[in-house]
Amino acid sequence: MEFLDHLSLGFSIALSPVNLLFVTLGVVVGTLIGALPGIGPVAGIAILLPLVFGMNPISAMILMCGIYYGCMYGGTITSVLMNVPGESSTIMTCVDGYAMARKGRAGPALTISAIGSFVAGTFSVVMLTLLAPPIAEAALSFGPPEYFALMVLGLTAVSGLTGSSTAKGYAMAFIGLALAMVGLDPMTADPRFNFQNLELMDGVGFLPIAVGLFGIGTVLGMIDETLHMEVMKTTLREMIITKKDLKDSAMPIARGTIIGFVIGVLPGAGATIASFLAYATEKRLSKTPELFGTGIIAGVAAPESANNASTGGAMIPLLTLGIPGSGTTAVMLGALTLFSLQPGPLLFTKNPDFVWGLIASMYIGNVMLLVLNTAFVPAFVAVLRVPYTVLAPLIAIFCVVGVYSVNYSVLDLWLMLGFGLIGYLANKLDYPLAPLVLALVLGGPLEVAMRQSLKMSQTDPSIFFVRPVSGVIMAIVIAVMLWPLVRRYFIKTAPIIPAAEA
Amino acid sequence: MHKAEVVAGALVLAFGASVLAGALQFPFLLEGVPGPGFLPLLISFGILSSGVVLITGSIRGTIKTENPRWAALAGWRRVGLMLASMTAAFLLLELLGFLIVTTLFMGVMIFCLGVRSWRVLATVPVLSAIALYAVFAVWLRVPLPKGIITFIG
Repeated sequence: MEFLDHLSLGFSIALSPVNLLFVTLGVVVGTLIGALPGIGPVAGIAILLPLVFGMNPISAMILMCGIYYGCMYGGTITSVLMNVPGESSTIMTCVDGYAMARKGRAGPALTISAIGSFVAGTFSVVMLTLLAPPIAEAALSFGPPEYFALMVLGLTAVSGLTGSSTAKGYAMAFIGLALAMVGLDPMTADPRFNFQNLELMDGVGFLPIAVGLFGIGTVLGMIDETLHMEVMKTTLREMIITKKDLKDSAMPIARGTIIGFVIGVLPGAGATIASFLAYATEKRLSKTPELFGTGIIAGVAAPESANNASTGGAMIPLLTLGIPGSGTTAVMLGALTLFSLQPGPLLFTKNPDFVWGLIASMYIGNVMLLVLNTAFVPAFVAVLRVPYTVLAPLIAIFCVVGVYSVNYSVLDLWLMLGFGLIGYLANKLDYPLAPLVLALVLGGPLEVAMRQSLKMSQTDPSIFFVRPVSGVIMAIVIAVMLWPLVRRYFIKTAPIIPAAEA
Repeated sequence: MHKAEVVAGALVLAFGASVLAGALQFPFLLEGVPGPGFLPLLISFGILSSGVVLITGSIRGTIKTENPRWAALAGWRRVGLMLASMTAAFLLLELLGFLIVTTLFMGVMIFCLGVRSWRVLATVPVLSAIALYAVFAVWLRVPLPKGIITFIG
């Protein structure tokens, strides 16, 4: 029952007035960001990153996590009421959610989404509570070869399995790694690729690149096409669900929760894939598959549970191994390293207050989101009526002042603008951004682990394959790398996973 | 052949070539163990290989964007305007100060994006600048450039 002691420590931290305020702020802002079409959790966290610098790391992470899982709830509102996915993980919710809204059942669709999200979110946090400590303990025995193998797996999975083209994913990952090489060599302190610029001696800033790619890139994407959005109305009274709705949703919620959690733990997969799989599974298991797409409540409950369950799952590799499996968790890892905190197994022993405070806050946040997304939906809908003509420049100037506020550097602003343009064009051409950010964050530690390993083996690369743990991981890496060829030649109907996966 | 895809692949290839040129300036091995040029060299090979695959795939038509949504001319104009306005804002930030630059940026942008209500045009830019100044300069104590408005404490 050691975890109960850990949890009680966590709740004592998470229930402090300051942290409660940040949980509330995180879930409200997350729901708003999720509800706004075009801005997903990764862009939302990247844009707001500069704001968290003055805070202590626990409060900052509580806020960012609140935004992360709040986004999953918020995305539903736009999917159901407007048939526009708030972010990529709610695409499947549009299908039956909007069909329900057209039948005058928007309220039950939103309520069951909130209930499913709450059940799934809470389940994934319980699993995080139970599984994270033993995984962290096992990872304590890992040496540089195992860490190198894990980082390569994370990068390979995110590059090779997301987006429409594997080559584009790998190209972005290699570009991210190249950017991570700028600055002082980690072993010899030789300056590399800094073009004699003193500011670049510290490396290319993570913040201007993340805010540029996701923040400015999103703003440019928002204004290049005129969105005509019609929001369906819903009132508090219409949110009430029937016993039949609950009965019809119980098993889809349970199955979606398990699928979402398992997919969330895997590197490279994430909320979007989880919701697609959960929807497909429900349709396959249903006695009336022909009703899917016509406004069936199981078609809303399953994907919504899955995308929320994936968030807790995604926190497991991030917190226990320090390996993010998606763009959003990569941005969170980048933020943590800026606080001089290194996620990984030692985090659980060195900073238990941080880890358990964060986990406890996720329990609280999920309860808050259940209330917010049933009782306050009309308030969030009102925000959707803010015109993009005002919102886009406001987000742009927020990015500018946010990036400037960290180093007071005009060079950072130019970097942000340049990467904003790159992010915009990359989105247009389906070049996934997550591998670039992940590689930028992991590039430094990956180089150190690789060079330490090769020093141990006197430059013999077989060290990565002969040690049991790193050997197994490298075998998975090879399998992931070969997967596109298998898919092309043996599985003709493999689905394309959306590039917007975050 | 998809022109935009080929151009993107060529840019990847060019970036890889520049990383290769930079990597060759550092020792690959140092006293028998990997040196500062070791990983950059491997990375440059990775970028160059990806670039070659992207270009050949684009020419053959095997690599193409699913449902490309390129903006219409008006959309490109708005994107160009945003980039130009941000460039101007960065150049004028130190000279005019945060409050004036933000007010001007917001005013110009929302007008050019189609807002014609004088009430909105008169209030939103000023209120946005004040709100952001309150959050960053007052709450977070960020020394935002004051420019010509030096009387603000």
